[in-house]
Amino acid sequence: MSALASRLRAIVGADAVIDDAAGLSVYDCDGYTLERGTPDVVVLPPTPEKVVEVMRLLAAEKIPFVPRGAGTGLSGGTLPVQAPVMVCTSRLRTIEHVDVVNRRARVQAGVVNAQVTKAVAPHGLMYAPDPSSQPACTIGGNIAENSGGPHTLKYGVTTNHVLGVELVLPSGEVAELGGPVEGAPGYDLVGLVVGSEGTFGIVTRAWLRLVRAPESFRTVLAVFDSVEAASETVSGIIASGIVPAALEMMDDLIIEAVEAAYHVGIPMDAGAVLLIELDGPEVGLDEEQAVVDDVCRSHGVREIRVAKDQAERDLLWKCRKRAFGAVGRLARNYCTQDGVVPRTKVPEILRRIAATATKFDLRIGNVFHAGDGNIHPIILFDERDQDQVRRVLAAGREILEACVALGGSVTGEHGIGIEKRAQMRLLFSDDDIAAMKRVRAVFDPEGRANPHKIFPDSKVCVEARTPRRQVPL
Amino acid sequence: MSGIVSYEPADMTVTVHGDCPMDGLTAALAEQGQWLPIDVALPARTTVADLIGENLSGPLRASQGTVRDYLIGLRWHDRDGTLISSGGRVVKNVAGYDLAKMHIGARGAFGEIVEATFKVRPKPAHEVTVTFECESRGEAAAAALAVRDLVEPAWCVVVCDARRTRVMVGVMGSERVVKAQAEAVMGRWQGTREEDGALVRANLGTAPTGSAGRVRTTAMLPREVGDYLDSTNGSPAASMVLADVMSGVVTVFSAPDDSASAESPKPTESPESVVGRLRGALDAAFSICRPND
Repeated sequence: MSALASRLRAIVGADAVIDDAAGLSVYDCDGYTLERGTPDVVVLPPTPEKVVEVMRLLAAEKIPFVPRGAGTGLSGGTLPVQAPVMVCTSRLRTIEHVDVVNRRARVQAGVVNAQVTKAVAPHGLMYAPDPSSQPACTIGGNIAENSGGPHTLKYGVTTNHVLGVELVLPSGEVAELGGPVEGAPGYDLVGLVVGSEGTFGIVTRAWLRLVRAPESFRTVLAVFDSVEAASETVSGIIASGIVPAALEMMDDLIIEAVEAAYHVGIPMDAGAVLLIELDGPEVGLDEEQAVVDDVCRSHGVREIRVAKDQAERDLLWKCRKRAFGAVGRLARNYCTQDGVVPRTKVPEILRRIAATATKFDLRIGNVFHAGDGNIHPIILFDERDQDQVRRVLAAGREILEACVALGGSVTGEHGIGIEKRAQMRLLFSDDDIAAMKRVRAVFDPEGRANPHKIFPDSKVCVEARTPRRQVPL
Repeated sequence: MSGIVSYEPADMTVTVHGDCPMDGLTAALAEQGQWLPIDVALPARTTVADLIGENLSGPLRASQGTVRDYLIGLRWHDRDGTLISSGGRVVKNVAGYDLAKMHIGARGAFGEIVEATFKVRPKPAHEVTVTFECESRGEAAAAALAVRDLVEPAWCVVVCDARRTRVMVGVMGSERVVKAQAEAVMGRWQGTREEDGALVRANLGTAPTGSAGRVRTTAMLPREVGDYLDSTNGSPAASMVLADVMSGVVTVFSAPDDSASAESPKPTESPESVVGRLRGALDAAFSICRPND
């Protein structure tokens, strides 16, 4: 492989190729830590054009590769499986163009999600998708996974905000799909690429839609005695006709962790809290908040606290977005699941998760996008106990099966990756999967782009170890 | 009602047959205070499959998006008669490729749509229109962008005909929000307020086409609309121009004898380009023979 490494160095420079054991170990997993694998060589091209050169070399040598952004993914999408070369887009960090009048931005794939909003905020604009990892995750990774976030309830997910992509195909050719102009004729190829988990090639640039930053906010923390009461409140708010910007739930276990970490003053005996954010023109917010207050009261809310300034709002959101990290205080290890149910089934899935926790003798917390029915059970465990690890995996599978049985899906925003290949069978027939493979072959006829991901029939063993690193914040 | 497979209002999703007429779907949703906020000019003559295949949209696209923002699941028979599904019935779902997207704007090329699932939204309580006149088409386009920046309009179009150029602004929401936004617009541009904004919007899509008129839609950047509109001024071919400035979508309605404007929207890439070849390969993968349309 050193011959390949030196050829890559000739393209991108010596500082952009890693092939020593210590350097490579950083890249042996992403946010999904239950399985690991090390690439032979990692290449970090400094420009989109260098990505093209790298891809041409890999095409000529017929070498499979795995694309990677910041490595914050949660389904093992960047785990190398029979892919010797990892191509990282993390150095493509230029925001190339902010078009205020047309409300678009052209960015390179390695630009960090939060940097886009930071760059356009002075113009009263924002980039809406806000995954919890937004201080670290890249736009390229967001596009690969079709990432969500708390504010997708009102604003939609990544695919609703990507107008065009520059896709470097595994052949080394460059496809410009979509662009700054909306409504161009022809069927939607951009929407096909978003969420394809790096199996079509490598996105190097994207045209993003910018939206007007809300004029005003109401960020409300509502404390309940039980998850049932909080769940019924969620349904009530949705039924009232209000579309909150975000509607998030945290249960007692997460409250314990968050309170210990951030001291917000949530009562430790609370059963659940809802974080409800309303946004839009100031003139409409008081009446919307009155409706939300009424719904909360009719379900026995214990306390309603409204953030009185931006600092309080930031604190409430910090609790929510860093809840995963705070959980690290409660247990040596934890595993975050991602499933979806129809909104009306949120109370039912929470009952089933509790039953699963009892059955497998595990502690499971819930911090999730209640308004979307997108659950994130967090299973606590100790990696040194092999029996616990086995039970964690079994409990995760049982929860996903319950989601599907209730009419939902096995992933709302983390992707299939390596983790959930088998669960694709819960949702899709052989014919469905064959159709997806036909599409994949159009972009990647040789199957060299992120091989052995998504599709359930890959009979490939990966090195399964117990986790030793936690999900990055 | 017929055509609806399942509808749980509290889930805010609806699953319908491909041949479900849009007027029926709209009525069923309205009974529950919800809607699929996509403009369809002739809802009684348009099916769900048409909506997807033609990627229909109107002025609401400016704030509400288009079919791609609402279609969350699809089942179809491909050309070999195989039933294929993608997506599902939940509002967030990233399991597998989003194959529904390639049906949007494909005019049924990938097969017959059997069933489609959409996200739906609460229907705003009020929709009001403010209309004001401008001296020139370019000035009207600039005013439309200024409206966008001043308030949060649901839609905003420039309507030009031989006699005059008007900017029409739709604002939606609660009574308070609608009142405040309408007053803000009228405070700066005067104009007249109409209470049934939804009716005004519905009439925009159908008014000038007539039985034999031609319609041509062109997409551009919002900033480019002004110059484009000025270039259409005085053109005898254009009997009316409707410009959704916020989205950059301009529709020219012409007299039936104007053959020059008879264009059906086709992909602009050449078949030899990388994207053109991708489309060709995708067509071939699903055994599509394209007629010379």
